[in-house]
Amino acid sequence: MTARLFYVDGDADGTENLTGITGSSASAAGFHFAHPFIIGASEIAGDLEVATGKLSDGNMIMDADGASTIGDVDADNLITTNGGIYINPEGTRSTDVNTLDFFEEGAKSCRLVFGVGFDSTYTEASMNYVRIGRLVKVNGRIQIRDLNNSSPAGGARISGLPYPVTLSNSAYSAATIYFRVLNNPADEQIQAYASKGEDYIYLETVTADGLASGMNYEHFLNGSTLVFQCSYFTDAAL
Amino acid sequence: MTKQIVYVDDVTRVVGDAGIVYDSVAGTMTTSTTINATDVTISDTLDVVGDADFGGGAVTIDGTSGDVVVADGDLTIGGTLNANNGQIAFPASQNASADANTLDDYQEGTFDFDITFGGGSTGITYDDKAGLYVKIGKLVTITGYIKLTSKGTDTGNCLISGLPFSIHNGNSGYTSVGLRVRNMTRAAGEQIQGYGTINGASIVLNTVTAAGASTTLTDANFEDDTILIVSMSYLATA
Repeated sequence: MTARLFYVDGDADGTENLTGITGSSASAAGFHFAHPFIIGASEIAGDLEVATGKLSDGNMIMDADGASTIGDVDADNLITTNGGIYINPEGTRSTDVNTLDFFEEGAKSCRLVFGVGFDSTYTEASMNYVRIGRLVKVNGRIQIRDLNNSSPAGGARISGLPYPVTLSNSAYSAATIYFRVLNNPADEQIQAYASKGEDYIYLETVTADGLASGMNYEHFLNGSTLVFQCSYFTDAAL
Repeated sequence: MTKQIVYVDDVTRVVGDAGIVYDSVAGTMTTSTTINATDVTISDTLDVVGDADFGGGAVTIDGTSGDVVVADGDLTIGGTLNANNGQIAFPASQNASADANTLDDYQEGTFDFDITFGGGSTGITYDDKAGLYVKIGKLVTITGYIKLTSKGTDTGNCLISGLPFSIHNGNSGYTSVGLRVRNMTRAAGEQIQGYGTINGASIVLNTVTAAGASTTLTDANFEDDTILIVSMSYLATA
């Protein structure tokens, strides 16, 4: 029986290896490695198991000053990070409902669109957003400096959502909106929603009789201000 | 059978007698002392019962098939946790934490709304009543679409039930609802608004007058073709 325990490649070429635990398992306390600790590498890949419950629980502590990169984690306890959690935006999207696969914070410009175009100028037209998994939450402010008198046709929409709304009835989302300096007909309530399959927030008025109509150019003035917020779901694959 | 005892002084020497015991019958290696090593390659399983302290060195797990498995202990990262594959998986059953800085749940899903009038739903039919949700820690965000084809024959106050998680029990759990309504009537001068019921999984809709008087919506405010788009973010109980 070959019972080689350690083999030390001490040829001073800078690639020294301590090998030879193949085929056995090691139970130990107090290992300290001052340099890279490699499992698998180009050989047969193995697992690093910390406290499998055979004896007492243990922790794996990484004190590296830089980032610690883990390709795959199966853990039934806690992951504690003293920095942040970085989720690679170019990584693979998951269809598992318990997998968080995206996080992004950002800012975008937005516009108030009538029909298919816009030609107003703005004092401000911007939004911030955060996307966590499929959930996108945007908030923004549009203040019109010069509406322009071209009287464009079509319903009023806020353009520029960072991701399109999922194409499903369940993905329709009501937006909340604050407004000032509007030509709002008496006793009509203003409401807004993100429509499925699109990247717009539609603006509507609704009468006491429940008749909803898209807002249009006539509802706005120079100086009209809209503050909006909307949470909606985008496609998992995006 | 106790087979061998060695002491690894550094990577260039293997000398004996420092308390490492290899049992060639059981195939185990144990030690109660400290090993200082430069590069270590393990092609099978390393089971660390105590703490594995890597000092300032890097830990590299073979990217093709190696896993880091923390069966019972915690994983502590000194720097940033990088999910290069872009995914962080949570268990399907939440392991709730009371710590305010611990993200302990992520879940995406669908749900169905149900509308009752006076507690009954006789004859109510829908074209659709679908909702989406995501739960991130305690935060639940929902969107949804309800379109009636008949409001049925029951009368009384309206209640929309079916939220995927109960709302936090306490006045701080109250949450207003984003609404877009169509074919829902109200008296002139009133506004329609809604809120989530604390310690419950329902939405109450009401009207409020210019004087601030609030009245719960009833079947009389609905039509057979009423459409509701809702959105809401609220805190769940855990």
